[in-house]
Formats: sequence, C-alpha cells, structure tokens
Amino acid sequence: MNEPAISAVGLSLAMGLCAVGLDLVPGIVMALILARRSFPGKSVLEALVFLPLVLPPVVTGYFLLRLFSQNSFLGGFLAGIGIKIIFTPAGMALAAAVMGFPLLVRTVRAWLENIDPRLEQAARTLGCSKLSSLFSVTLPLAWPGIVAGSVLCFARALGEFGATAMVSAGTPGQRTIALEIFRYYQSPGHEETVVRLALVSIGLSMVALAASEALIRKTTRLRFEKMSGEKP
Amino acid sequence: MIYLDFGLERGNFVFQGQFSSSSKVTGLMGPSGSGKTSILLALAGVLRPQKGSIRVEGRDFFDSGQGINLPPEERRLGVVFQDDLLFPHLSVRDNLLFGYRRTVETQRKLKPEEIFALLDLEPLLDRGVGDLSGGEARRVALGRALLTSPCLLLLDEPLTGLDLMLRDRLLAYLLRLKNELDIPMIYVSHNFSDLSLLADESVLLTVEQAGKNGKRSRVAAFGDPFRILPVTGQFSSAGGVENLIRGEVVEARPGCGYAVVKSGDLLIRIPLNDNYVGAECYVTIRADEIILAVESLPRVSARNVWTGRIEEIIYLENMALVTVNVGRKIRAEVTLEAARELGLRPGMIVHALVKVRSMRSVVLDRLNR
Repeated sequence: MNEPAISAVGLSLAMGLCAVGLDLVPGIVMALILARRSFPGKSVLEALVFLPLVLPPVVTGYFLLRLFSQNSFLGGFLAGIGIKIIFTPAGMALAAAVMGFPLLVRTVRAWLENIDPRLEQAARTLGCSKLSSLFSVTLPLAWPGIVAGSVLCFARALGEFGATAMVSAGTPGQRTIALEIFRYYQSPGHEETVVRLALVSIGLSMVALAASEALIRKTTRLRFEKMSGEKP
Repeated sequence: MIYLDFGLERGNFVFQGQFSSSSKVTGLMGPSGSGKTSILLALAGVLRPQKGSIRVEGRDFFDSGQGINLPPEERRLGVVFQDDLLFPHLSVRDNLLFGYRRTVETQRKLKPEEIFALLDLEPLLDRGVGDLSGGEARRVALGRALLTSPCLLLLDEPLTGLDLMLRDRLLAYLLRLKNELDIPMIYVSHNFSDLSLLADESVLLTVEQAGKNGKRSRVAAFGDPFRILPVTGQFSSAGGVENLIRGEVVEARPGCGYAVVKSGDLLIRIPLNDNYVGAECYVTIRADEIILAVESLPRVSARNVWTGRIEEIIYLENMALVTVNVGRKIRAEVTLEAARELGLRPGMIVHALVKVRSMRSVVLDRLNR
C-alpha cells in the first residue's frame, strides 16, 4: 500500500477514536435526558439529535460549513481566538462526531429505558446522592449499551463520507479511507489500491465489532462469575 | 416518634391525612390502591408531597411551610421494597454492603456479621441475586436496609409473594428483628395476622371513589377500621384471615399423634413434626378452618375444642368474621347463613373446633440452626 493510503488508514482510525471521545459523555447525558426526563420541547430536542441519521450527510456537512465558516458568529468568534475548524482535521473529527452521535444516543437510551428507575430510588435510600446512584447503579447496568453504542459511533465515523468530505480540505493528511477510495476510484490505474483500502476498512469494522462483543461478554461473564462463584 | 401530616396527589389518586406513632412497630393497613406504598415513598423522600410535614425521631424530613425537604440519602431510613429491588449487577455480598459502605463510620451501629447471622445470610453471600429464591431475596433486601443502621425501617408488604412456609419463616425473622434490634418499623400489609403479631399499633387507610371535576379519583385517608371492611371486602381475597398465637411447646404425645402448645391458659394441639418440649413457637390457624358450635358436641374428632364468648361480629360480603375470646381472641370465619341460623351475636357462648391438621406452626429455635 502506498503512503497516502497508509496515512488515510491512520487518519480514519483517529477520526473514529476522536468521534467516540467527543461523543461519549454528551451522548450518555443526552441518552439519560431522553430516557428519564419529560419536558416541553422534548420532541424538538429528539428530532435535532436524530437529524443527522436521516439527513443526507452532505447536507449535515453543509450546515457545519455554514456554522463554523469565518463569516458566521460562532466561526468568527473561534477564528478570533485562533481556532480554525473548517478544512482542518479537527473539523473532520467534528463532522464524524456529529454523524455518530445519534447512533450512540439511541443505543444507550434503549438500554437505559430497560433499567428499572426504582433501582435508583433504592440506591438513594441506601445513602447514594443522585449523582452517585447514577455511577454505582445506572451506568454499570447500561454498560453493554454504552459499549455497543460507542462501537456503532466509531464505525460510523470510520466510514463517514459525505459530511467529512464537505469540511475536509482534501489535501494529503486530510483524506480518510472513504475519501481516498473515492479519489483513487476516479483516477484510472489505482484499482488495486481501492481494493486494498476496501479490505482494510472491512477488517477494521470487523475488529471493532468483535472487540465490542468480547468486551461485553467479558464484563458480563466476570460479573456472572463473581456472582455465582462458590465459596472455597 | 413518627409524625406525618401531608397531602399528596398522584394522577387521579389523592391522599390527605395525618398520624403519629411512637410504637416500636406501626402497622399500616388498607386495601390495594389506598396509597400504602405512596406513604412509604413520601416518608423515604422518593416522592414529594404537595404540602404538609413529616418528622421522624425529632428530625424534620419535610415541611412545605419552611421549605424543608431532606433528600432520601440524608433521611437514613431503611426501605424494603415490595419487589426487593436488589441490584442485578452486584453479588449478594455487595448488595448487602451497598448501604453499609455509604454510611458514615460513626453511624454504623449494626455490624455486617451481626446481620448476616440474624438473617442466616452467610450461605448466600457469594451468590448472584438472580439465583435467590423469593424468601432469600427478601432476606437480602432486609439485610441491605438494616446495614445502613436506619433510624426507622419501612417494610412494604414483606410477606407478599411468598408461599405459606416461607411466610412463616420470614415472619419469625421479623419477630426476631423486632425483639433484638432497637429500630422502629413501619409495616405495610393488608393481612390481619401479620399485623396482629408484629404491630403494636395499626393505622387503617380508607379509600373512596370520588368524582372531582368530572374525573373519577381515589381519595385515601387514615380512617376507622370498621367503616372500611364492608366497603372493600378486600381482606377475604388477600390471603384470608389468620390467627397467630405465640406459645410454648409443653408436651409431645407421640402416642396420641399431637404436641401441645400452651399460650396463656389456652392449650393448642398441633401436629407433631419436630417440635420439642420447651421450644417457643408460633401457631397459625386460618379463620376459615375454625368451626363454631352453639351446643357442645359430646363425641367429636377435632382435638381442639375451646369455649368462649363472642366479642364482635363483622359482616363482610359473603361471610361473617366472628371474634371469640377463648382465653385469647381468635377470629373465625363463617358463612352469612351459618351466622343467621346459629343466631350468633356478641355476648353469646360458643365452642370453637379445630382439627390438629389445620394448625401450622413454626418453632422459633429451629431458625438458629
């Protein structure tokens, strides 16, 4: 594999990890809000969170461009303090994070909704504050959902094309696997690189899936063993 | 000392009432839907009343006038929920120590070993909560609540969902807690017999349907026992009325096929099983297993024949609940027709007949094994 292709793999992996890193905490908080709270305007918030899931990714990318362009309020402010988002790897990571966010939120929320909220009440009566009941009861019980959601988010960020392409400068070092495959595919004589990159992305996705399965199984088995372990 | 006086609205349920109690065990009784659980949750701080005040052992938990609302973790109440609510991701041991670890060291009055022994929890410690039986899970929930060294223990129908054998066992455990620990309890139940045995004082909740603003709603309040019985008729469907009598095994007669338990002046003949003389035991007789006779029967197979005066008759939907004082009060259930034909009325002398086989008994010492 040639050098740009290898750097594309590295960048893709970095994008995936960055997206999970950026999304994890806000995603869990959002999932908690959507699973446990009811308030006026909840459906609007819900629609906003899940919008990237149904919108053409290019449109999401376009919104990001407008939001962070130097002419906009936010982009102008960031430029003022020396932060540039558009056409930088940071912008690409942000785009990947936005695309992966709804997948993480959806998965974690589904798990949270399966947890009896009265378990938290029980924890409260046993001396937990609201926050500590979250950390000692709710989140450990939602752990498999958090892992599964993170993997989905990672995989989504890894292969994201549309939104990332909109905010990428397209220069070497700003091309992910997906962008690189598209570029090589358009220029003749690079069939082989395309196939290789495709195989690499298949491999990465499968490793991520397998790792998450193993992680979930290991933690649940550990728990199970701890629970059903016999007294010596 | 427990004092509460509050109003609570939840959907179409309205509760308004006040009571105070300084008994060791206070029973809270009422038909389903009368808000027993809501009252416990309000006490525990999980549910916030609209107005009023709650004070326990000299501490203000809630006072809408002064804007006081102590969060659950600062109230230090032990709650045993109706369906246990054990944490599925933790072992039995970690469940038990959950509250203990979060209790300030100076406030830990009960030691884990003590509670484990008291509730026979040792063999369960390393198991998962998933493979506990109903009775075991209930004991773990009880232990978990106790290990926070609570200033008040709230028990929400702790015997519900257990079969008869387990009920008797758990009841014996609860009696042991009552006798050995210095923790007041509020005991929610819709069963006469557990309350008559455990509670020093009982409060009854009444419910009535009320149409308010065109909506049907349930209005609950603390009320008077005898007004509620005919209205709901719940007690007959809630497992039947049982008599629980505490006594001592005074004699075992293998040749006759029974053992004799003495409770006050009353002699009760129960099945032999592994009773032994000197053991403290509890005898349970279901009210509907007792036959009442107006004249004494000369030759009868029932080995328990007690004579006493009728103190009270409560007429329910399909039967009459007759309280007879045979040295201690027992309740017998007869059909409405029988009550009519025999001409039962308070003050009348009757004979109560019970077969040995109709007795269930729990020997308290057996729990120590």
